[in-house]
Amino acid sequence: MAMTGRPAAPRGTGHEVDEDRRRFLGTAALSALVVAPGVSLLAFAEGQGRKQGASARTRWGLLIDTTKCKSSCTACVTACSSYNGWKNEGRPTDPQWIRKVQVTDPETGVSRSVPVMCQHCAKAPCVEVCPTGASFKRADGIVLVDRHICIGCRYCMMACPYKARSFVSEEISGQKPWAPRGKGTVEGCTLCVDRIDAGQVPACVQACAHEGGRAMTFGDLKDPASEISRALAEFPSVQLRADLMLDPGVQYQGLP
Amino acid sequence: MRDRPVILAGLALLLLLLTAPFWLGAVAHTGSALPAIPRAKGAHCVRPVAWMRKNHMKLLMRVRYEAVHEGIRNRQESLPGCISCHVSRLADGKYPSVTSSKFFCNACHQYVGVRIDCFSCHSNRPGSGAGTVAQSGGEARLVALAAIGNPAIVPPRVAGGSSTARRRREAPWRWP
Repeated sequence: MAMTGRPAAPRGTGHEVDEDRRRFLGTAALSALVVAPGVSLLAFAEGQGRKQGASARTRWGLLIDTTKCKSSCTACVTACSSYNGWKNEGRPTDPQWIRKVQVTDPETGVSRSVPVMCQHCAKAPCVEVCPTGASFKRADGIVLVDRHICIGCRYCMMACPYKARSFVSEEISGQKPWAPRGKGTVEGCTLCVDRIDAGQVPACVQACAHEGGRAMTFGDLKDPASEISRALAEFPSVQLRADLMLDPGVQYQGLP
Repeated sequence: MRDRPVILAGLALLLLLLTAPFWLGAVAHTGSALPAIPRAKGAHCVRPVAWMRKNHMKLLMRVRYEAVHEGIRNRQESLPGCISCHVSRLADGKYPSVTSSKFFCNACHQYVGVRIDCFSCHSNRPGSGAGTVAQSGGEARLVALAAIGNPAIVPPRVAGGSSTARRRREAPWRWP
């Protein structure tokens, strides 16, 4: 089809504009040649000085085999509590980063004890509702509270279907250097983020392996060769409240 | 005209009265009134001292963001890093309280009237936190188990394993 309906631009002016353009492009290319090596050097220096942080190529997850989890065992809860320095004395407002829940199928009577903590959802409702951006998801899928910007509104506690978060309502002292926590902010399981950044497994997983029934597996869900991915591929597993489609990073096997 | 000496004396007296706060302050603030900054343990700071005096808060804000949001943790450039070097036991063997002027941060902050709330959440003592809370049996066990290591657990892949091991050795407050 012929291009119609548009008058051609006058030839004379078009030629002058071309000259200008050519000169501008030439100057731009020359300045780019002068500036580029400096920029890349800067980027190089920056890259050298920085340690590698959380990466989106990884997604940390937990797999809990409930057939190996005894209802009498609380090794994971004790380990989390002592490593992160929180204490639950049974009061309704006490922190519970991780807790044991007994689930029973009323039809068959099959009963399992299940550790429940922050499920580190891919589509976390606590992140959606946070008005300040304090509740956030790290690149590697760990859902955290930045207590520096948390205003303690507790929307996230309302939004979380797993009751994973708690609020610090009293002044506390004697915090662990690696787990700061304080009055007026919301807190929850961090998947022991400081240990993960240092290349270790979370405290609950370590305790379960040594004192418990080796029910917990920690690893990278995006790595098909990881222990957790192989276990997920081999046996069927479920996410808690999968109907909510939050895609939790914590998964369970052997639930009734 | 006969009143001139009286007037001049009166003016001089007035001038002295008006500037009295300045003179009194000058007398009171001689010598020891400057903040007494507790000595640090290390040989030198992570940045030049003059730069740190002016910019330590900017550095802290930056490392705080990097550690919490990006997972970039540097042992030395962190609040626990500052504390482990700058807070020491007093002569009586106890750590200074966070409200006392003997606490490193307070030495200057009280002098210039700046109030910080870092330590309502962060630990104000160096080391593993021993002495601040009673070490429970559980933790001691956990630490002992961490030392043994567990072949059944596949440690997560972290790029640069050797640097991870080095970080582990260098971080006394994280790996008690």
